[in-house]
Amino acid sequence: MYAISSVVFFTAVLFVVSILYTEQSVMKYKEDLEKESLRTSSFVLNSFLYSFEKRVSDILLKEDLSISRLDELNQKFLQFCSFVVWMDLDGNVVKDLGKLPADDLYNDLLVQTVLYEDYGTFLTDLYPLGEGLQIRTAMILQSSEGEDLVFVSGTMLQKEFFSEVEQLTQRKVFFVSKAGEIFGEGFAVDKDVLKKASESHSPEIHLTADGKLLTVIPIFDFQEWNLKGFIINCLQIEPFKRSIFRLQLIGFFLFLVSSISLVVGILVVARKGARGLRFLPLFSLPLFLTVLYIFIFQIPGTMQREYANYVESTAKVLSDWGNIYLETGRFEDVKKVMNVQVMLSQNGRIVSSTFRGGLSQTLENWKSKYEIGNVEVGQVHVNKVRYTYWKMTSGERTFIVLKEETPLVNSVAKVRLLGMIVVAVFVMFLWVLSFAIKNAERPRFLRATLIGYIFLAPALIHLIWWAVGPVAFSMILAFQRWNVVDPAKPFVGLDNFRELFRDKLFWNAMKNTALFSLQVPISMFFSLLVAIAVNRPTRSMALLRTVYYLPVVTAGVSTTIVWRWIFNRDFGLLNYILGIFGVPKIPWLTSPNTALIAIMLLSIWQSLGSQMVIFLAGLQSIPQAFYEAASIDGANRFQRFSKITLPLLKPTTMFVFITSVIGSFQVFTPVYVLTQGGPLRSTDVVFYHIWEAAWIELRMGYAAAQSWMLFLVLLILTYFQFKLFGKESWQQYF
Amino acid sequence: MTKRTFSQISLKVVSIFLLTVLAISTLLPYIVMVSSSLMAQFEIYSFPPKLFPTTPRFQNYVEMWKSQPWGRYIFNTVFVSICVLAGQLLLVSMGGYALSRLNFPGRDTIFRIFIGFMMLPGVVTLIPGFIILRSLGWIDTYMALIIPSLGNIWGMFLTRQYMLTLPQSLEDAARIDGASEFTIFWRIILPLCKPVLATVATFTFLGTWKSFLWPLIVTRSKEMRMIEVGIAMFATQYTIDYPIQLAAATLSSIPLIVVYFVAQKWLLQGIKLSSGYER
Repeated sequence: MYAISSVVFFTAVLFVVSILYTEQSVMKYKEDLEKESLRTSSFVLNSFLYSFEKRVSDILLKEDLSISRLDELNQKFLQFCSFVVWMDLDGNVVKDLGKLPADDLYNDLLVQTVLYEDYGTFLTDLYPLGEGLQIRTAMILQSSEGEDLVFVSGTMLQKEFFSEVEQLTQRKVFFVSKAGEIFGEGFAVDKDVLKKASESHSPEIHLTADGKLLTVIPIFDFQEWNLKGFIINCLQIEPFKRSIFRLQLIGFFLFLVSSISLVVGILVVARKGARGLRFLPLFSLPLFLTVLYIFIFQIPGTMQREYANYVESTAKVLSDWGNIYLETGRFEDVKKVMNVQVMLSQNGRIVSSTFRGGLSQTLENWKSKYEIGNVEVGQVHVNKVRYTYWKMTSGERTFIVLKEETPLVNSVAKVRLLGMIVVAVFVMFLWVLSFAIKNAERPRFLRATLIGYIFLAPALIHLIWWAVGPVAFSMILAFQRWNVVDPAKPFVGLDNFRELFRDKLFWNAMKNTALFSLQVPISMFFSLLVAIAVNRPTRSMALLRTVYYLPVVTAGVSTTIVWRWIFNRDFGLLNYILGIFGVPKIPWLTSPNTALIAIMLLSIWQSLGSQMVIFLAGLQSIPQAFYEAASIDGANRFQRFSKITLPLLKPTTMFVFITSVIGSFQVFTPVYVLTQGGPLRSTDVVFYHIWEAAWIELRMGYAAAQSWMLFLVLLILTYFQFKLFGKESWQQYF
Repeated sequence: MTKRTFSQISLKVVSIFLLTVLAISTLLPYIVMVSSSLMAQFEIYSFPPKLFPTTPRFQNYVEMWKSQPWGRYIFNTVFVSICVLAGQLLLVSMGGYALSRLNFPGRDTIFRIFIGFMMLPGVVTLIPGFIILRSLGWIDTYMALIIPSLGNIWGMFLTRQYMLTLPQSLEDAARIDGASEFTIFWRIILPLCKPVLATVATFTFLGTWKSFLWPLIVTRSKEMRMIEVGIAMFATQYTIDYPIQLAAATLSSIPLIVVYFVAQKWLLQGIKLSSGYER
């Protein structure tokens, strides 16, 4: 009975927690996507501005601009403008036509700025008016009579634009003035959201209490100076929420069915006793399949559908407005507005692109999906990162707009990871449950187990959190390109390892590390001698032992700094002492020949004590009777040492050797403080190299591959060391 | 007793002489550190090098103290050390108790897994550990300095070995009196484990105080720096001003040396326990 209720309870809790978490992450993804969709509508706005400019300039640049013909020209403008004004440089109106705006045109920033521009330069800006948004464009011109003229024209943006955006993105679009006055259907907008958007100069997402997802785009003048107002995209979020809810309903139903299956399974087990436990996995299978189905397919499917909608509406926008805007060649603008990359190819050759560092040469795996109008949509990999592409061809020129799919990939991966964790927790739970059922008649045994694991839990959780998990993660990491600043973490297969084998600097670091490890036998030789010498129970020897051991536990950055001074070529103590014996001055840390030796000296100073103490312990464990027996047989001092001490010290020597080599392969602090890998990379040891790859170059994936290589080398080395010392040496430890 | 030969005596003299030279050269960096930290600039740049300053210049310490927020670094180091110490002792003693004195299925397998991870070089978990901290938003917080350092498999191993040597009769008597498992752990086993816990605590304290790589990686701001990182950064900033650098080095080393001499007994015991020889 306990088993059944615990299953029901556990399943319910797991269900609620995981669904809540997923809903939250799906909503988060939806919001991010909303920001992208909104960029599309700003693209429409920009395209509108540009097409207006183009129509105006088509007339101005092609027609004869004599003052007598202005009336004729104005008629042409009036086909698409609501007003046209010609002024002289002082602001006196020469000619005008149409419905003039009420505000002072001449003293406005637009005209005042254009006065400082060259002839024929356009400035375009947006103006909020009573009934909506007005585009105004201004230019300074010279008439064919030679007189300077300021030309200003404008048109209302309202109907066309808003209906265009509404149709493309299936969102309601409003314009909100600077003061918060709304043009269009009446609904309230939170003033704080407006303020936030205007302060950050970038779109803000806001979810209203009645389930509307608002995206607020601040509009500034062409100099990004004065706030003009806001465009608001409004999406009724209800249908989306309802679809999540439906998902939850299906999920809940499946959970219910499979939990019932599990409960039935437990009942079967209860009937058949411990023998029936075999069937438990069978009955729990539907549950696992359900969880996997929901997390691996259904929720990612929802996200992918949302993304597909975005791709489709963007394709529509591009097919209507793409060419007119892209042909300007203002790719950086397009990149900024839509958060995409743009490429132009001519006769199949890439002519220009917004990718940096030759990335546009790495396009591969084109996968075409469908076409909307003249736009081809599909997927492509750029430098192993997946992109969606929109391809438009006009004549010989092909425009390719590329959008990174990383947010989608990462969100999907997150949900799938969650699903796997849920299943893992479930398997654990069932495992514990079946263990409990199996031993139901032995309550004391169960209690002891429980207490044991309670005591072990803190250490075990810490181990899983900071050792088992990281190791597993590190294995994945080694096959990824993982840069801290770049959200894209693509799998690159064996690329990291392939690069590793070709990377001369890494193998140089390996070589340096191997050379550095030569200090281990040297230091062991001395430490063994010292250990034998101080192995006497007198007070003075105890004092010496204390002194020798001091650097082991107190040496760190501080003492390394002292050593930097001791190694100084001109004023250092070491060169002075050597000078007494007639040795010429050695540039310890600044010459590539001696820098590694200097660090080895420092290391020997630091590790001598610890090796000595372990040797001492080994020496003291050799029974004194052996030596006495040998003396009676007439063995001399040397014979006693080589025939008794050395063989019996073999296990200790192995222990010291293996741990010291492992330690010396991971030397870092002295290199960091003294030489930073220099001079000429002569002290660039592996650990330092890995640190540089990870925290200077920020290539975490490559650094992880390097650390696995280091681990592998250490493993092989340790294996051979075990072989070298023979079986009887290490049996003492295992 | 045989009469001592000439060669035996001379060997002894030579060995004592060499041991003394070694002891002096072992101590030399510490002597240089303290004495040079009291020298003036011109004094340290003199050849032959001076071992002691003509007049000790304590002004160096004042200048050093003013140049960096050393108080903050020391506070961070002490705070982190204490937290790590407390957490580790709890984890180590509870884990050691479970692995040595309790009987439950899976115990030995888990013990073997722990030992296996003790062999793992730290470099493998360094990068993923950093990324985990980053995704938790813990970079540049005390959490990043404390939480990952709480596990000490070596210490747990030591504690387990020590607890195995305690007689079973102690517990049995308490059990007959109706003491709970937790009471036995807290009231009987832990007090007996003071020596081994002191060993673990000493090593942990010294290790945390001079920890360098991890604090270097997981902290960014000055406010979160631990002392050794502070000194390393300081040394790269004031490259020429050796006396002041050495004053900072002395500041950081004094607590280490004091703890070393006070807790020496526990350190040596730890070595003996972990190298496979129990007295």
